[in-house]
Amino acid sequence: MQSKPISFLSILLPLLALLHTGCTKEKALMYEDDPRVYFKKYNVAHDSVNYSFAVKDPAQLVDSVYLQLRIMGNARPYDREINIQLSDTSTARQGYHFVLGPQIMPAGQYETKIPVYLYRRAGLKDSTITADFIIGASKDFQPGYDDLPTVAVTNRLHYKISMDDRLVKPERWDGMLAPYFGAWSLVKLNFMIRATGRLDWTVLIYPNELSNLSQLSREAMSMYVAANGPLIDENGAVVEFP
Amino acid sequence: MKNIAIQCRLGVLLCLLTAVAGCYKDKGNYAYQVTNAVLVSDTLTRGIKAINKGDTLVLTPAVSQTMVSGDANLSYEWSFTTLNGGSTLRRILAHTKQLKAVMDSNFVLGFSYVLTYKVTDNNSGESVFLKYNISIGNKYSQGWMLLEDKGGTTDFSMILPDGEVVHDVYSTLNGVVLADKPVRMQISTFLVSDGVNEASRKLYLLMEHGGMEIDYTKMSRRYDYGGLFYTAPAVIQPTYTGFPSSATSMGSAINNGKLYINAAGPFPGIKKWGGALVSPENKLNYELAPFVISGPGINGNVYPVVVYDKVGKRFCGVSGTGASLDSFARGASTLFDMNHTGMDLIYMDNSPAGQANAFMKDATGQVQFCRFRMSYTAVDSVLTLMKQPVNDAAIAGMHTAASSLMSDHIFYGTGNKVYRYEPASNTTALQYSFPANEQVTIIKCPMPLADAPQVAVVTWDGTQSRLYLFYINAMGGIDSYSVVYGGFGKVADAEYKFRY
Repeated sequence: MQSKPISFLSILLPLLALLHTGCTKEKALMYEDDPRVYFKKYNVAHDSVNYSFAVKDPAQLVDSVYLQLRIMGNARPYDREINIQLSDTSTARQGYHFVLGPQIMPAGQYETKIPVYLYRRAGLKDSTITADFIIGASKDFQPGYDDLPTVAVTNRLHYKISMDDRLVKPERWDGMLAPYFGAWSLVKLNFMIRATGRLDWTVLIYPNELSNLSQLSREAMSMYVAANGPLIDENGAVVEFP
Repeated sequence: MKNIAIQCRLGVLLCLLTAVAGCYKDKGNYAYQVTNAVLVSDTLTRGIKAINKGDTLVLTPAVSQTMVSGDANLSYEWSFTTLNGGSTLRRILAHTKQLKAVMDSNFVLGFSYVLTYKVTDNNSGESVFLKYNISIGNKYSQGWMLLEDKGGTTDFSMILPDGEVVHDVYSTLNGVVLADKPVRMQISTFLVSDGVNEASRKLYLLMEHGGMEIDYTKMSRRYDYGGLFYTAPAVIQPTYTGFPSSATSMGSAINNGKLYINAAGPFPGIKKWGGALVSPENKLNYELAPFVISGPGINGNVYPVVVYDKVGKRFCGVSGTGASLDSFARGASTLFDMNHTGMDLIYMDNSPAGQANAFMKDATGQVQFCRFRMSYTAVDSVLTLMKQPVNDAAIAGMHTAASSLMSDHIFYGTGNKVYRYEPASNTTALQYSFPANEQVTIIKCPMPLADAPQVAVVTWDGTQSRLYLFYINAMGGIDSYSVVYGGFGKVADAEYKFRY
């Protein structure tokens, strides 16, 4: 019967140990996966950007756009390498049509903007080329997450820059410009640029300024028609504003 | 050993009981002790308390306690934070039960502040609070403004709510004399956000060859007329500049006979007037009368703005994009042709029901009263509502008018008399006769004032202008004036300036 007290102790001690665990402070659940990086994309940072030198000053031979990147995991107290690769689908040549800026996530940062320097080359006058970027693995980052299973599915591992040196239909035409300027045509856009002096029609323009641009275009058109007759676009249609 | 075993068993049992006790639901049956409550109240916490800079703000909130008599146990604190400029800096104003504070350099003219009254029960440490919204103005915050022609120069006087008349307000506050003849003074009917300045009512002063926006609070010159546009018009001869309706938030300016639009809706960016709108023929072949009608909105089957082209003798509408003048659809006109009235416009404004009242003179010289609306539906596209000849000899001499905002009547001035026209009965009625040497030059029906709806009538006797204020009676007319102010130069326009 010498063993009975021992058996009670063997019950009591684990029980006390279990009760004691309730007094320990729970550690917060933290992300501890391997660091990753992805293209930051929202409505104002689209999947792709269409860049045209045609709306720039003729003397401007280089310009820049930015790739916005964001990391998963914690910031680190040192610079980390990002590996942005060019896809085989690209028609733009690195070092000729564009040059990527330093691919670094700065120390202590969760986000960064990497410049892409675009060069105005002769071939852009008659063709549109694309630089298709993909997030690759580096010694510091793995590729981040891809599509979000939401209404607005966004590919966060790819980013495309289209560039040319000829007027193309601004990507915001149908949604933003059409109510003020009507159907798009190349001749109409050229006329609007001359009438208003505004070169960049790809950015967000607020209604007050849109109204002004529309009024200036119409006023210029009334004077043009009075002096020259109707302006005909590349489709053979009379250029009109609704 | 047996005792040890029993003790161990009891120990285990005790631990289990202790653990199980944690599962016991607390029914919360406590005996609460009622403590003293401090109660504070003040009717001035409702709305905005307006006070002029330099004046003393006196606030006397009611303070009581449920269990303690006297106030020896209470301490007080008055503090304020600014609502403007994103700053939330908190400053202590006083530690007194009632506030008596001068609106000194701590308070900026034109800014609004939240003033917090804190009362602490020192026995319990509990505090209660009251919040006041105060707005800092000056003596020119409210009152009648009279734009005067003073020998070819422009200035304005103000009649303050207490009856004090202040002359030469512009030149006094701005230190310059405006060497141009006055044309018009206009105040927006709502707070306009131009993307640069704090949202406020807009005050415009128009002259024959120039104009300006005046800071609504400070009454100082803010922008020259050309600076109100993206590109200043080559010729500046403004006859209308204002934001007549919050329903559209669309500013209209008529300069050199052409219409300019300023869409000032609730979106970001700087708001300015754009280029001159072209006519329905995409030309600048029109000249507008100095009247603007506001529609009920900018979206759907509406015309946010309607104007009158004196050259084409036609009304023109503006769409929600504010891009050009439009002619009206064929089905819009039944009683008269909106696109070609064949008449000259004498006067036009909005009726209290939001429709347009227009007095016109046809080719025979007959005055016609026309009414139309600015919205339509898919099944009812008719805009014209009324056209009837006004058979009153005096109306042919009409040179000023204003639609009452209280009833379906229009007051108009002819010679030294004020008449009232009633569209429903197509009748006119003499309202008031001034001395023979006083000609009625301006009639205004401002938004109802705090005390009662008023009609203001300005006269000119060759040497001075007078402003008469009439209360509108129960029949929608006016009888005798309540007060008259004299000694003004020749008044070109009058507006009532509201504090906000």
